[in-house]
Amino acid sequence: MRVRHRSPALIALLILGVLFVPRPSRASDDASAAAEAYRTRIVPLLEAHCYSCHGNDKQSADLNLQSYADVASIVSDRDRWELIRFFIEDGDMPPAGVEPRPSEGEAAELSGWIAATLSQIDCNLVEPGSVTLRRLNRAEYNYTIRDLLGVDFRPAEDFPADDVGYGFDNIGDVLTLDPLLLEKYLAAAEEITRRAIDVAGPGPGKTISYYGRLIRDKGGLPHGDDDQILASNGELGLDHAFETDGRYILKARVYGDQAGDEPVRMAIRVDGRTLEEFEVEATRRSRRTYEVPVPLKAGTRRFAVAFLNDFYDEGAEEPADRNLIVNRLEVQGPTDPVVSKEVESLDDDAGGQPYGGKGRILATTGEVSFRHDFEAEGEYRIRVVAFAHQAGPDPARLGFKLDGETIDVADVPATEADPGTFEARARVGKGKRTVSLSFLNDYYNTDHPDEALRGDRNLVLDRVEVVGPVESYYHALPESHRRIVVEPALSGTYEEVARASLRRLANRAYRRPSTPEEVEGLMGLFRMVRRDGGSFEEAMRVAVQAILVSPNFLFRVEYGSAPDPGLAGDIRPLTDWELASRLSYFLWSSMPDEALFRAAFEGRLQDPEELARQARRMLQDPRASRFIERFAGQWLQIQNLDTANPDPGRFPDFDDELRLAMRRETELFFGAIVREDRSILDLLDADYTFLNGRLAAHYGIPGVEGPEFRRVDLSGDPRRGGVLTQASILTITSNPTRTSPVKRGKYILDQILGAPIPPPPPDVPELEEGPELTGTLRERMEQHSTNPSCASCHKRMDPLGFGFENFDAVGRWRDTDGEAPIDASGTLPGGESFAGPGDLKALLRARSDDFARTLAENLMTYALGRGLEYYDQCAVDRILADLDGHEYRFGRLVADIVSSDAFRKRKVEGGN
Amino acid sequence: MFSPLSRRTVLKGLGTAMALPWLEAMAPAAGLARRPEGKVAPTRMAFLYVPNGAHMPEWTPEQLGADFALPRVLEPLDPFKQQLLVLSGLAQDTARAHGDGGGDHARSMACFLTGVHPVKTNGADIRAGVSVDQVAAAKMGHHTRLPSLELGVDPSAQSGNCDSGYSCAYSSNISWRSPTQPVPKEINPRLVFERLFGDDSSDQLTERRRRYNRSILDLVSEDARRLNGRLGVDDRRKLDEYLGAVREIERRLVMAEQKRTEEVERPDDLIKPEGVPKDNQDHLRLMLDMLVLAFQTDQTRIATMVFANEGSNKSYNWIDVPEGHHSLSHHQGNAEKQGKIARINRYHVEQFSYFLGRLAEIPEGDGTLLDHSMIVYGSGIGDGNRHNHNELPIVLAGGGCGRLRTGRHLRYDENTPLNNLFLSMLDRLDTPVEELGDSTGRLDHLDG
Repeated sequence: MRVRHRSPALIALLILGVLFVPRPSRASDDASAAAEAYRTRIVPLLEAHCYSCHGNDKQSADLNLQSYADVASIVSDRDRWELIRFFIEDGDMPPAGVEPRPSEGEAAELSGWIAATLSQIDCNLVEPGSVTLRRLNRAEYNYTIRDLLGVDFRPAEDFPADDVGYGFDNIGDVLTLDPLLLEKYLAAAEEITRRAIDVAGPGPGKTISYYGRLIRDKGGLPHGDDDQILASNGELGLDHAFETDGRYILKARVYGDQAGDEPVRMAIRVDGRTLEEFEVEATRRSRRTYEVPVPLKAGTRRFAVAFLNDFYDEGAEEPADRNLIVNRLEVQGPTDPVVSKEVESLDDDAGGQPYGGKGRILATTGEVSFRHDFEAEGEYRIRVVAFAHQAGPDPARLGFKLDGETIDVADVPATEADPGTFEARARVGKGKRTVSLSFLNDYYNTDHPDEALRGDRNLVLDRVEVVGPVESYYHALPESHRRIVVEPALSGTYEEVARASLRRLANRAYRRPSTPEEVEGLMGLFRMVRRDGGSFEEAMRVAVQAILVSPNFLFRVEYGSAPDPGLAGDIRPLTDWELASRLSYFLWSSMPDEALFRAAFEGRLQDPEELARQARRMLQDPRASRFIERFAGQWLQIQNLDTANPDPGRFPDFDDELRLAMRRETELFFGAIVREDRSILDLLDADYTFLNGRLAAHYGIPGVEGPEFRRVDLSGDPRRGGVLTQASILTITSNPTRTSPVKRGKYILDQILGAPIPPPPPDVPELEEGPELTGTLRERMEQHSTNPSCASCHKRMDPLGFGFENFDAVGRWRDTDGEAPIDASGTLPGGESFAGPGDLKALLRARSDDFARTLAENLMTYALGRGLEYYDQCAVDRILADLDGHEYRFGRLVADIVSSDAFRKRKVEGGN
Repeated sequence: MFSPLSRRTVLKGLGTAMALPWLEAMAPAAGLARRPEGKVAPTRMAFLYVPNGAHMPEWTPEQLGADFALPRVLEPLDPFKQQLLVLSGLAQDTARAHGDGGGDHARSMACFLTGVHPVKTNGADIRAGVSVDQVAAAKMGHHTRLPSLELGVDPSAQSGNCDSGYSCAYSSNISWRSPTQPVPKEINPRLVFERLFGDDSSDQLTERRRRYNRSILDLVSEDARRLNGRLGVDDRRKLDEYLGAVREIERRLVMAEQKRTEEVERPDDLIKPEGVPKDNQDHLRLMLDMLVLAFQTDQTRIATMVFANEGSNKSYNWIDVPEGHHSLSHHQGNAEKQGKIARINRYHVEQFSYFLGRLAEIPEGDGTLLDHSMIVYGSGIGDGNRHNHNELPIVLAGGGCGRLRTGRHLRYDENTPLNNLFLSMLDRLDTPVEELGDSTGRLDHLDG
């Protein structure tokens, strides 16, 4: 059931000029009056004129009017009766030739009564309707992932297409989820976390090398195949883009032609500042790399090596020429300091026993310790390469201690064949401390009755690295990683960081505070991966995958808040969190941002004024372009351009570039109305549009060159203006080889005036008996419309379409169709006539109410994710009345919708 | 860009030596026809759908029985004439209006395989019936890695209501897992390939990865159950879909762990398709190739394939029919338009013939893959101009493991339900049901 079905009344307006459109009124008085009238006036009329074909004896079109015992049964079959009213008003029923005919007054009484009866809605009742749990559609999934994690790729491109209901692809009822899609969600989650979470950990960072061609003209002269020679004091330098703040290691692989009494001296410089000077003793045979660590801010800087002590002695015996030869320059980083120790080479009293060149073995509970000088305060990682002789029910367990205090414990499931790396972290002050690695769970049992439980468990420690203070790593992490992992504020254990991170991410991904139970579940996955020997980051990946395939993420769950004593028991106001999501998915096709979450957290969204204020803010945000593309793309159906296929034989100019330009024009035009808060009536007629060179040429509008779109003034061009004269819509309402006035007319009735024509009869009668149709398209169509069973509808559609006949099937202006001149004049069923598209647009603009209602209904459908029901008419009426007082501004329309009951409340059906 | 050549290279290396998994089947199970020599080959079943009806005067053979000539539209099937049955007179009554007014296109697709009159709605409460392929998949799908495969070449409509107040779900899908859940079709050959043989990067999931996926699924189904307790009826229906999907994926993971399909014979030099070919014939044939592959490697035994969405107004200018298919189909008796419709019909039948040819090339046991298949090709509309749903264009091809006597043209009493054919097919899969949609019984004369 859908409000649009009421629109036959609008058709009546068009046709008969009747001005009576019943509005919802007070229900109780009307109800008893309607019941009385049904008995005394209506049933006798139906009996006299209708029952002979639609009664107990005969049910043409499967309709038995005698089966409607009372008014309630009529109201409950609303769609059908709206159709009946339409046929009566139009004079199509009873059909010509059936006697006795009702008088004009009787027909008007009948249709008036139906209209009044069907519009009995009590607008004082709060009836927000019920929205079925909405799965994120493909676009919403992509945008939500982008906004949640900052990962900009479109994993949903490979998902199956979403089904469409009521013209939109965000309708809860038709968005299904099947195994194929879930499989893709799993794969996408894995890929997303692979891109979002860096698992390399703090360490060497990446190295960028400059050599060969890359240093060829940066200073000095070519030397041999690969090198550059600085034969006199001077620099070889290049500009390097340091991507993030952090600690970098600058390296130069060089050697010297040694001469004189000192070795070659070289400086490594950044932006002209010498970081360190080196005595380069290396020669051609022993070339080596000199390096210097340096903390740098992000930015492009000059990295150079300088030759400082040129020497040349013409008179000396050989060799007497000192030169610096540069083989390559390298930038490593950002990177944090790493101190690596072989456990085997620690002092003898470090603990454990040497284990055949592979470190030290702890055969019983005990530890390996060493002193380490922590050079500065900060976060450090202690990273151990280890494995165990596994025995007993558990894997070996490794404890990390600093000065005797345990900082973390890790399971070591790794084996000698496949050693693993295990890591702990701690915030450590400057100074020397004892680092201990302990074996916590020795196991030895040779006579256990269960053979599988016999054995000897030992822990072998091979190499240990102390990394830190860890700073650069955090600077260099991808944005997505930092959004997921709460770092580096915390010096807690991995468990603590994981819990805090997962809680924070789940709060955002689920768009409401997560529960401790949910976070514990995620921690279970985290621990499972850790137990397998996975790193912190690997474990985070798996837990985050679970967030991304959870129904709490994939569906927009709404419960509503506690029942409101002022409302019926099954009506619940939405919570602030739910309202925040309704807003964000309406205007951004994505999750709320921080400002919206904050407003929800502070409980401000219960205030309709605040909702409207947020909506205004959001429409000015760049993310509103998603609304423009998705809403306009579907309401105006310009998405269908993707599959439009004009016949290349007739329209050789049509290509993908033009297709895209057509769509872009309509989006930019709609976007201007949204962002500049203009009148929605501009959509029907405006003296501006947006064109690039290609589209302007297509339109025959001079003076627009190049691929960029710009605003173009149309005030001097009466042919174009408003969406109906844009090539996008003219193309999608055409057939591949020719225009289709029927489709164009139907489009205007459906999408612009909200007055859809009833569907064609189930069995389209064959016309082959009739005479061959001849003449121009228009003439042939007019003959076709003389068939009475077609004419009743076609007389509404066709004139509207003929009015745009000056535009061909790809939207170019034309004055002739083949030989014949175009006749774009016509008369609407209501008697208004027009001479061409300009006149027709003016007639349409005069129907601002119908148009505003159509747009409001579409916008509400899109905002709510459900089809509208008859009771939504109350909200739509209120919105239209308000809009009329606010110059039909787009922003006002959005504000009215988000502050409506339908948007702010929900009806709970069957449980909760 | 995708050329026909690269499409063919995809199939290079599909040698006959390839190990066929059904030979290793542990025990004959439902769906395996016993062959005389004691070998078993599973019966495959597929449904190929074409929209907008057909030009029946050039579709229906004049003669009945074994001695019949193929009219112009069906002519491309001549090489396989002995392996098919032309079935005339069948009807899909549930596609008729029955008081719901227009919308024949949407209806005819929604009920083609279901035999259930769909609820007229633009969104809420979409409801048809369970389709015959899904009935079979539910009963025998556990034998294969994928219970069924749903293919097509057109995306679901992107906007607008699709046909006279019917949701696009009706005119884009022929497979229905449940009365409220249409199964979306895959249109990208690359993605079909990845479903069949895994993606290059994660060719086979590692044991550990499968374990993690199972743990993730355990956790999220817990989430779903917690939600379920607090939601209303319609919401619960959505969560049930979710939980059903979780169970199916878990089943596949368990199956993979049990190594039952571990030897997924990804033929060595098979090349993954790059994406959606621009050319319609390439696209159709590539999807059909994928279907052949899926059957050949026994990844699934049940499939549907939609040649174009119902009501499609596609232009076929490459066969010199630039007008839109749907607008042409309302030919009003105009001979030129009918001729063009016949041309489109014949073009589609050529692709069908290509598919049969591919199946017939593949030896399997004592016959060919075609001998072990039952392929229905047809439309839910008879004449596109009249939108009639009786006298449907239907061909059944393949030997059904010896349980069909092919090479004949049969005519049934007017308005014999198409679903009766489906009942008979389910019998031959050894997955019999007593009724399906509007079926009134079995179809006679299929085996003689």
